[in-house]
Amino acid sequence: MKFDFFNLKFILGGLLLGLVLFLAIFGPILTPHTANHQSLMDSLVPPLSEGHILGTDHLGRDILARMISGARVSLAIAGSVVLISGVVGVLIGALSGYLRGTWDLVTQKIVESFWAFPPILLAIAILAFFGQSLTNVILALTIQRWIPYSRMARAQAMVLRSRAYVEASSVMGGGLAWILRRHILPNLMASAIIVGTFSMATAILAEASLSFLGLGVPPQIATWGGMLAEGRSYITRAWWLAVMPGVGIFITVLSLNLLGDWLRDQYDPKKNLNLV
Amino acid sequence: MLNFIVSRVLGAIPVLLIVTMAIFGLLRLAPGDAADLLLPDDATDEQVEEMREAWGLDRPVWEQYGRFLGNLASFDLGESYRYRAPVFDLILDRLPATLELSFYALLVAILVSVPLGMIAALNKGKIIDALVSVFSISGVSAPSFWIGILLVLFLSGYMNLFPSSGRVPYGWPVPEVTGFVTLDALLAGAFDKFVEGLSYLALPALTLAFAMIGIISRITRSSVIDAGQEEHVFTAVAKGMTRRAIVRRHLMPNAAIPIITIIGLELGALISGSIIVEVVFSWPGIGTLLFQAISVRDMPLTTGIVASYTVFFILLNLMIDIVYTMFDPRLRSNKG
Repeated sequence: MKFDFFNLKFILGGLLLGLVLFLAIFGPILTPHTANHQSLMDSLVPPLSEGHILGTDHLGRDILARMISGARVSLAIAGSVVLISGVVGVLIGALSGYLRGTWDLVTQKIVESFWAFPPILLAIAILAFFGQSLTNVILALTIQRWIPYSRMARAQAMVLRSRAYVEASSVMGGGLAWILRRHILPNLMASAIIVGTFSMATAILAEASLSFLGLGVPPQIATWGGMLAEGRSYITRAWWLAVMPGVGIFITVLSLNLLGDWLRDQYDPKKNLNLV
Repeated sequence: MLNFIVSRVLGAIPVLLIVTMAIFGLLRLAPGDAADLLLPDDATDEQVEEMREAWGLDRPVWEQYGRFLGNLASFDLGESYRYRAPVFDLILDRLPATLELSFYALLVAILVSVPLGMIAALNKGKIIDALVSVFSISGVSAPSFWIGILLVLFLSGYMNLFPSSGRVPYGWPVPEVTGFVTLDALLAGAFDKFVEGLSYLALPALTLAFAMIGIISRITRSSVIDAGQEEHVFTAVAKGMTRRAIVRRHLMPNAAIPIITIIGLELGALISGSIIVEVVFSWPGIGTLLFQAISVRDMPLTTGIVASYTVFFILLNLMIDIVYTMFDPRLRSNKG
C-alpha cells in the first residue's frame, strides 16, 4: 500500500487540522487571556487590536481564548464520540456479519430502528429530556453514529467469513474471539478509519448545532456553537463575534472532509485505472 | 410489485413499534414527571398522587405504553403545558410553514446542484470541475446556521436585499386558504404579494439548500461520470451521435437513479436542517415550535413533535422505497 502524500487534499487537510490541533493543545500558552474573563471596559474590541488579536465579545472576553476553548471542547467531544461509536459499531457489525443467524436479525432490526430517526432529532430529544451535560452530549451524538460502522463491518465480515484462511482457522479450532481478533478486525481497520474521519466531521457539526441551540455542554463552557448563538445579536455592530467561531467550525470540518476524501481515494481500487 | 409493497409495509411495523417504544422510554426515564413539572414545589403528597392518577402515571408501564400508542394512532398527542391546546393542532398549524420552506429549499438545491454536477462531470479534470469540487466540499463542511448568519450579514444587513427573519410582514392582507404564503398570494391573484412572500423565503431556503447542494452536486458528478463509462456510450460515440444527444439519451437516464436516491436520502437532512434554520430565521414552523417547547420544558409538545417527525420520516422513506422500485424493477429482486 503506497500513500500519495503529494496531494492537494492531503496537504491542505493536514495543514488545517494541524493548525486546529496546535491551537487546541498549545492555545493556553499562546494567549494571556482566559475564556471566561470578563472586562466590560474592553467590550466589542475589533480584531487585530493590541492585546486581542481576534477582538473581544460583548462582555469583553477575548475571542481567541474562547476559540481555543471551543476547539478543545469540539475535538474532545467529537473524538470521544468517534472512538466509542467506532468500537461499538465495528464490534456489533463484525459479529453480525460473521455469526449471521438470530444475532444478525435482531441487530439489523435495532440498526434499522435507530436509523429511522431523522439525524440530530434523537440527539435533541435526549438532551431535551435528560438535560445538558458532557456525558449526555456524548451519549446523544453516539446513539446514531455507530450505525455506519456496523453496516460497513457487517458487509465486510460477511465476505471475509467465507475466505479460505478464515475457514481454515475455524476448522483448526480457532475460537470466535481468535478469528475476530486475528482475521476479521484487522481487515476492517482501513474502512473504519475512513468512516471515522467523515464521522468526526459530522460529529463536530452536530456538536456545534446542539451548542447553537443551547442544548450542548453547559453554557459556562465556551463552545463554537454557543459563541455563534451569542454573537448573532451583535451581527451588524460586531461581525467578528459570529464570523470567527464559524471559521473555526468550517476549517476543522473541512480539514476532516479533505483527509477523509484523500484516504478514500488511496484505498479506491479504481484509483490507478485510467478510465476514459 | 404488490408483494413487494406489502412486505415493505409489514417490515416498517416493527420499526415503528421500536421507535415509539424508544420515545416513550425517553419520556419515562427522564427525570421529573408531569406531577413534578406542573405542581408547585410545596404541593402535598395527596396532590401529587392526584396528579399522577389524572395523567395515568400510576398505571403499569406497559399499560401506559399501550395508551401512548393508541393515542398516537388516533392523532391524540396530548395537550401542551404551555399553550393549553392539543399538541396535534399546534403541529398542524405550523406544518405549512415548514413544508413551504422545505419545498423551496429542495427546489433551489436541485436546480443548482444537478446542472452544477453535470457541468463538472462533462468537464472532468478541468478548472471548472475543480471549482465545483471546492464549492461542494465547502458546502458540506460549513454549518448551516453559520451560512444563515453570513447571508443575513451580507444580503440583509449590508445590502438590505431581503428581510432577515419571519415569514410575512405585519398585517399581511392575503386571505389564508392553503396556509402556504406564496400559493395563497397566487390564488388571491396578488402577484406582488407572491414576490414579497418569496423575499421572506429567500434567505432561509438558500441556507437550507446550501448543504444539500454540496452533496447532490457531488453525487450527480460521479454518477454522470460512471454512466459515461458504460459500453453503450462508447458505441454511441463510435456511431457518431452528437454530444448533446449522448448526454440526453445515454447519460441522463442512467445517472438519474443515484441522483434521485441521494435526494431521497437528503430528505432526512432537510427535516433536521429545517429545525436549526427555522430557529436562525425565526421562521414560524415546527422547528421553532420544538425549540420553544424544549426551552420551557413543555414535555407533551416536545414528545409530540419528536414522535410526529420520526413517524413522518419513516413513512416518507417507505414511500420513496416503493416509488424507486416502480421506476427501477431491478431493485425488486433483493428483498429485505
